Amino acid sequence: MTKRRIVALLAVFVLLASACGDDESDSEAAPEPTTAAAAEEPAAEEPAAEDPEPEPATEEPAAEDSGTDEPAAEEPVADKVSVAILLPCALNDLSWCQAAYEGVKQLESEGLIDLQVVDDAPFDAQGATRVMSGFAEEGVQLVIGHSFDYGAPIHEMAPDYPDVKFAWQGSCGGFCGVEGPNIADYFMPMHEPAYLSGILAGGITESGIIGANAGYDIPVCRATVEAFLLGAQEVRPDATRLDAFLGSWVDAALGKEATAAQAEQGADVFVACGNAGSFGMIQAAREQGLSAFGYVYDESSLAPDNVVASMSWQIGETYRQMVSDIAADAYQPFYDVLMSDGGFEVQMNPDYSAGTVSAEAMDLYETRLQEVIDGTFEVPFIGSADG
Amino acid sequence: MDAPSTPGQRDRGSVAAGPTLRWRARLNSLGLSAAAIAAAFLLGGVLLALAGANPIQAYVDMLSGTFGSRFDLSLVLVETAPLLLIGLGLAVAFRARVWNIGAEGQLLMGALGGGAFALYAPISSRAVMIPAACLAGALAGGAWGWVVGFLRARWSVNEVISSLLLNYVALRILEYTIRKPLRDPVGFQPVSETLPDAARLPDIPGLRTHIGLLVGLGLIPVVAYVMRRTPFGFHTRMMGLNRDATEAAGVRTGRLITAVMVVSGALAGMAGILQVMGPESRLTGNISPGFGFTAIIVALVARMRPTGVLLASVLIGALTLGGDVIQRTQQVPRVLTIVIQALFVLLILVADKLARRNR
Amino acid sequence: MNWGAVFGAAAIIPLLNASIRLAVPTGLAAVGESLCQRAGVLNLSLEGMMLSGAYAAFLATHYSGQPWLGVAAGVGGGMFIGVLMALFSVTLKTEQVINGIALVLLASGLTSFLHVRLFGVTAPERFDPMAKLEIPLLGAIPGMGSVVFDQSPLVYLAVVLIVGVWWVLKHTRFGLAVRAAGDRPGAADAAGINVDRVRAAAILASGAMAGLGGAVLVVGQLGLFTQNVTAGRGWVAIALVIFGRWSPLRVAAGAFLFGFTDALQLRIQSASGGIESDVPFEFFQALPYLVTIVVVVVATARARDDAQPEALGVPYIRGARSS
Repeated sequence: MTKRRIVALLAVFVLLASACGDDESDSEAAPEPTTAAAAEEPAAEEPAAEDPEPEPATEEPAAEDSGTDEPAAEEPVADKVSVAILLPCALNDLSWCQAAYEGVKQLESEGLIDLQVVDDAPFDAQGATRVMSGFAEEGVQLVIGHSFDYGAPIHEMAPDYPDVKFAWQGSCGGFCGVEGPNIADYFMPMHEPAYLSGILAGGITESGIIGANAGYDIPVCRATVEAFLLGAQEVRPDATRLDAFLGSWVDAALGKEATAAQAEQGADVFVACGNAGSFGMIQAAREQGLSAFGYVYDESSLAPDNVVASMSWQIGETYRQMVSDIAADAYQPFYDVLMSDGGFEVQMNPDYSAGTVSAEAMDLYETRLQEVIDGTFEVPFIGSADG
Repeated sequence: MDAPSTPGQRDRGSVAAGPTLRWRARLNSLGLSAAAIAAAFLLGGVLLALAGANPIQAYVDMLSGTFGSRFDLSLVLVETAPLLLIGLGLAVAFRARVWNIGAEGQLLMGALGGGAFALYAPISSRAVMIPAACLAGALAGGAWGWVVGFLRARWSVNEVISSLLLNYVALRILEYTIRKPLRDPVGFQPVSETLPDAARLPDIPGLRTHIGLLVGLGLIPVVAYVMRRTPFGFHTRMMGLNRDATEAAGVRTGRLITAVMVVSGALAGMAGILQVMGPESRLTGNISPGFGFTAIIVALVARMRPTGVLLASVLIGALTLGGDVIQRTQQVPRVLTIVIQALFVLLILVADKLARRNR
Repeated sequence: MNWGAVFGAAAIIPLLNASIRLAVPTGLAAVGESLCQRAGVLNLSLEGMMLSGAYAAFLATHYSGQPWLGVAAGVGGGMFIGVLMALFSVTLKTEQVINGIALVLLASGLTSFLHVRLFGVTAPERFDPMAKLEIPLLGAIPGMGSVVFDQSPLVYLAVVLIVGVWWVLKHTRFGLAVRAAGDRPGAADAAGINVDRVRAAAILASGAMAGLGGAVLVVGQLGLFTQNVTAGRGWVAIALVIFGRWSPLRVAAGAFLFGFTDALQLRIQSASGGIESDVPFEFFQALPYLVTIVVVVVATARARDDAQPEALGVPYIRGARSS
């Protein structure tokens, strides 16, 4: 009897669902999603138009403009590319997701794209497929998955949507078995700023010991810490590195303890790969008066005295290339926008005071920076134990 | 710990006297129950409005986007598949009042065991490979569940703590395996190779849902039959009602607890390998977004009834997909749709409770 | 590997300090949970309570600049989830396990939503975590002095609260009522104890302590909030309650052991060559969980009594048979 109750309850819900569904099923099943959207959407969109993004408090004027442009943009305009991006974390995480978010927002404010953002997107393949196929069915031109976790689901679903372009952050350059005419992999060249930051670190460290923490042993993280050490060794050939893996991208308190542990073991300058891990690291450095580098985004606000510089991913440049290639119908399988193309920056923190970069290291840094930008110096990418 | 396994006993207190009175009471509680559902919609609506969405339009979108087309329904059913399987196993365990909080770890071990088998076994026939890999996954998940049952039976180690902590251990084992021994040799990231074609699940004809769903559907009558008609089922239910009396009746409860843990671990493990052969396509560190925990909700909302498990997992699947839909159409942040899902679960429970109050 | 860096005389004091820092948030939540479970409520919303507390603490400190206000708000944030837990579990008597899990989802979603909603992409100014409070003279004792007497004031508060819960449970009328509500709710009711009220109070107390645990992370250690900053500590805390066999002091000892193993594994990872270590670092990461399981096995194998409250997880309905 009790079963029947709950069955009835759920059945009512399901019936209700399918009943209401019927009204809309025409538009849902319409073969031409773009026209259907153009016809149907404005009514639905209108109320939300004042508030197009989930972060109203800090709406820049540029975004406001695009908001008022929205009704016009609903018409299929040839030169605006419709983009949906999946961010696996909060869009204000001061790190991985915020870098990407601001990158696409920049393009939106320049009027290059129509943008939809999913922050805190699922990153299991099933959940990712669910979210991405929604956009693909809608006829979005470019679906970006900002994590290497999105590679497998994109590989599986891309053939079903030949008119939709997919992009994922794999940094593979063709070695991940994720391929297709409408799939692009984009590179995170953090080893470059990491090497340059390492040079600065080599000029700061007194003990010659670098502390590094990373969420997981993924190639980009390994390449980052390895390049960082190589850079430091240009100044301090005896430099060594201590590593800790947190097994988490969110546990800032554990990251702080990892840095504290490394400080006890003599490390005095720190690098991290992972958003929360970098927060913890910077906090520990702040409390102990040591030096640290920001991860992916300008993190100097977290500890103005202690952050030497931040490796800041100008990821909008990567997306800009993709979008213009799509407009020109020349989508590439791999986008590696390096420092030489403005893909990454080392953002020096002018207020840094916890240590001093030796003049020798500073000179070397300037030299190498120029060489990297000119393309005359190649930083090795050491993504795994055997290079 | 008791569970809703003894509703008859607990609700006996307030049977109303005359038939008219009883009807009035029943109508009354149905009204309250409807009010609880309405409250869920209302509260959800307030949150949606706060997020800048049009609540009514959001609900319409949510419904049409989940059951409005065969494609949408397929996606709902994809969400249903793992929850159904795990939920069935947990229903058996919870019936026995064995509190398995470790389905997540059992799922991961099943994915690992079955995935390793599928990657290495030189089988090219789908008809052989898929059942064999399922078996391997079920064995691995069952073994992980067995550890919990064994610790309980042998040393009375509380299953909540061991199953919960083993989740973390399972995750680390999986992460290590895909980083080192099972890593795609020509690949780059710490993930395994894509499974061979023989180990990829085809879709159910007419839908875009993999056939893994059918395993769960097929097991519903099996679980129902076992629980109702077999000695195992009888003893399990009896143990859930009164462990001491079951022991006194000559049932070796230690063995039974272990068996129950193996069964629920095996079903979770099978769900794991089906995820890998289905939507995941390879072993990664992110196989489950917490299916093992969501399935606890599923099993308990269903009051451990196998058909109820199906409906509850469809409901959760629809809420999950519905959240994505309104993210797209109404720009509702995904985190907020999680809040709304939680509210719905809570208030549906209240509605169910109120509906049963005067019976 | 350089074992001296981990176990050397100079490394022991920092190791113990780190253990305390890692143990306190989880320990507070776990001890509160032990009170709640002794009253018969299996409260799985603990992670949600911690997270809600962490966020409330962050908001209050951010807007007021007063860390102690943040601590108070953290307590309130935990109790907010506690009120919901009590409403559903005690008043409406719906299934405790589902209520708990659903409230974790609720807290996680709500804090993440609010954080984006309130601050957008402009990072809120971070604040300084609460400074250490060295107890005069005692803190200067070489060696153990700094471990025991030179900690964040929140650590002292935690110790007082943990001992307080133990004392209340053991020596007060309320404690007796809590134990009765958890073991023999029917008999307690007959003896004039309002079982529902006692259980609601225990849930609120648990919320307060878990919220404080979350506040310790934000106000005491990080000075900022990040999404899901509690990172699963609430779940571990639930395991620790069983580890400690529902006795607040043993639960606290379990939290320390867990924190100690975590602090230790980070040091071993760093000292053992990290990436190139022969022992996979995943093993070290799993160590706190493995050690806890092993200790539980050893402890329960030796204990003969079943410490679990008889009516744990059973809603109390007057007139109905309850176990």
